[in-house]
Amino acid sequence: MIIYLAFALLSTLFNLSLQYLWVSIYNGRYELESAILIGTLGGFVLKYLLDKFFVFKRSEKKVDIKELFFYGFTSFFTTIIFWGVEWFFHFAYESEYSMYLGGFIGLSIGYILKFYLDKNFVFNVSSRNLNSWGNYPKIDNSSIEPVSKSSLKDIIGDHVKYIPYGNGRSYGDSALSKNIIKSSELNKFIGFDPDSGLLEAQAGVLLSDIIKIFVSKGWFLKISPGTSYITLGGAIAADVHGKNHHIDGCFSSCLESFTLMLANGDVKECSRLENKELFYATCGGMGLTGVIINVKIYLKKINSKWITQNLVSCKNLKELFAAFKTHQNVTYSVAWIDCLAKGSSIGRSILMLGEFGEDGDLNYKPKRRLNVPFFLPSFCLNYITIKAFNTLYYFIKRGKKSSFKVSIDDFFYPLDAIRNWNRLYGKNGFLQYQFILPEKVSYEGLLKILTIIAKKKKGSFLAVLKLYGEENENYLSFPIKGYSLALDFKIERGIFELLDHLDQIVVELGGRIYLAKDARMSRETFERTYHKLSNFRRIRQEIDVSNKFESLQSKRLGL
Amino acid sequence: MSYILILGAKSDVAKALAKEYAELGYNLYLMSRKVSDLELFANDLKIRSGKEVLLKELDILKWENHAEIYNNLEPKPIGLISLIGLLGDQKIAENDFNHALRIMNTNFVAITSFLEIAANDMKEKKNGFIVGVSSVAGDRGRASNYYYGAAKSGFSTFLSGLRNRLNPFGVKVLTVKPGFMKTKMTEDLELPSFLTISAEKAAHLIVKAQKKGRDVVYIFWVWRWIMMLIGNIPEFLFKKMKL
Repeated sequence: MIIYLAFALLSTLFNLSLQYLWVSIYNGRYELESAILIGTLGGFVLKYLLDKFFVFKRSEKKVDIKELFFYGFTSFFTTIIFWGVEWFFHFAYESEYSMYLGGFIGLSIGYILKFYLDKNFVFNVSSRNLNSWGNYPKIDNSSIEPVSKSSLKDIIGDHVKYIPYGNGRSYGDSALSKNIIKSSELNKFIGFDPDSGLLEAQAGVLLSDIIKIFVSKGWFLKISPGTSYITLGGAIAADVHGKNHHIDGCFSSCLESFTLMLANGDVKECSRLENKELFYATCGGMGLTGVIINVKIYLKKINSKWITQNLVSCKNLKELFAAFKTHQNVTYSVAWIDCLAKGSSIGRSILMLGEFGEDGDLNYKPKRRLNVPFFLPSFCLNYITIKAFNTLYYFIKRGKKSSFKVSIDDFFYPLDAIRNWNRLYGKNGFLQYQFILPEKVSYEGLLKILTIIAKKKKGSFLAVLKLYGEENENYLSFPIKGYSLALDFKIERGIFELLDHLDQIVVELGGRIYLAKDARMSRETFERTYHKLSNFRRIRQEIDVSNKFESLQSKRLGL
Repeated sequence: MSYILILGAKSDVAKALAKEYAELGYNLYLMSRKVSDLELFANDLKIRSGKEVLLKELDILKWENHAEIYNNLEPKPIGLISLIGLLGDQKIAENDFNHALRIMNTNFVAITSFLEIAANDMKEKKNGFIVGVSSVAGDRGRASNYYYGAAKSGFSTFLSGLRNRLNPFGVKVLTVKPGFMKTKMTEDLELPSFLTISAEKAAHLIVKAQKKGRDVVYIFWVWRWIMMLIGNIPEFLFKKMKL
């Protein structure tokens, strides 16, 4: 900050001396105007370079046009404030000194403001702490990236507790801890057998990499969640699911086996045949049984990069449930639901159905992505904007013709098209609340919960409802046969109380909350809803890992 | 598609270069000592790019084997990039000539043996390119690492001569002079962040310079001016400085 102000002074001096120099060599008609222009430009460029390289320590040589533009914009903005304050003082007190005092105060406010704007928005200096996707909670942490099995073993040998971290896409606190092992360097493909579709890779490989390489060869993930920017290790740890859960189950159903490094550095091969309890504990085990190293999964043969999509618009929850039933044999299905609709329109929604095409077109190129370059102020998302978005979205989708071709990216990963979309919720972050209810009580429960949310006016852009198939044998996997709803809520007053209230309803109806999204549920809620928890706790004890692997979540829930 | 040969393939910049060239559609020969350490990397690159990635054992200090190793390559590479380098320890080198010799042989003497063999082959075919990664440390000798600097200086001079000799035959020779890079070689050093670039960025700039047919490049640009400044300090001042 002091350096920053020193540079401000320096560039002001530079500005004035440039003007002085210019005036001494040029005596024309536009003397004053040209002098101001040249001085301002020179001072601006000098300050930009000084700030870029010395205050915010950027190493790229390239003068980024976008960066320069934003920098210029913050300059303009703060200059307006500076002039405004000076002008105000000038007229309010009408003495010469007050004008200078005003100028001084205005300039100070302007520069302090500009410092923070530049820091956060222009040069994007962020702390080195890793966050989760919801940006809540935040804790100071340090991370380490093992490059091989042996360096991983050395790291685990420390007298420190760790949590493995993949690509930071879990929403809550399941991958947060003081010390983090990041899997980003363990991202090698090991082998692929085109006869069986068996792929072997290290746990840090991203699903997006698999898609990029294998779609053009006629292969796709058997199970994929709504983002491709997660690691294989993360997919196992959360036992993720996709739009085809009602037919194909969780990620573990395409998983042949994996190797797991335990707290003592031993590596165990785990499958349904070998170390099967460890397998069941690790799938859905939120990284608390050890570090997954190598993974073998089966890919699925496809004949097209296109999905044939059908949209069914439903006026209310009743229609939606009927539509899910009618289309339960379609491979991919998910419903977007307007969670702010009230009264007889509760559950107004669009059911999206899809099947892979058969046209043989496999010429796949990943889509270009937009970016949210900085955190939006959190007031941008409020009842009115969300209501407007939801209403608009419903009527646009309703108007579309019902059957058409969409790409893999558009169908499976609509949000991946916008990098850092989580920043829309502002710096304080957001909570994603995903619960599931048993099939029999789903309708009644969802009606109740949607009514509460609409009444409280706490809506979310993307409320997603989905039908699930049978529960699997893993100890902590989320899905049970029934319906699940996922909602985003920005962190604001009253939100925790509301969710605690919803928890009660979920517990009473025999449902549960998804660990990969959770940052706040109580230990009691958790213990009452995950019925195979005792198996998980027993395994954690048997392999003696509770002194080595812990997350904020595991401490909160007593995992 | 043609092959590119990378010497000293275990370095971070070499790996990043391998990725770049594979993405551009080239097959690769990767050479280094204990090359089997690269199997995981090579396999991964092969799956990601769909290109051939072949590993060949090479101990650069055993120059008696160079010809045989090169002649066994089939097809012959159309480009060769040497990233062989050993920073060594100046303090040890001052008291142990064997260590000094090792620094000089690795960074200079031994590479010329291999490069000459490849150069003759390319000259005959009137096609190909050679990229030698030298160092800004070779531009002026400093107390802190003059054995390394002297060897790199010799290597830069060798490349300059080779470029001159091969120019009539359409074979391009590029001298790369990196400044600070964030790699395994420098992981224990505290480097000023605004003078340091990542291995990936360095690799990208090297490929760009090679594609453009440049002769000598500093990686990255600030270093050209820094070295010009350092080069112009009069010796009577320079000898009193601690650099």
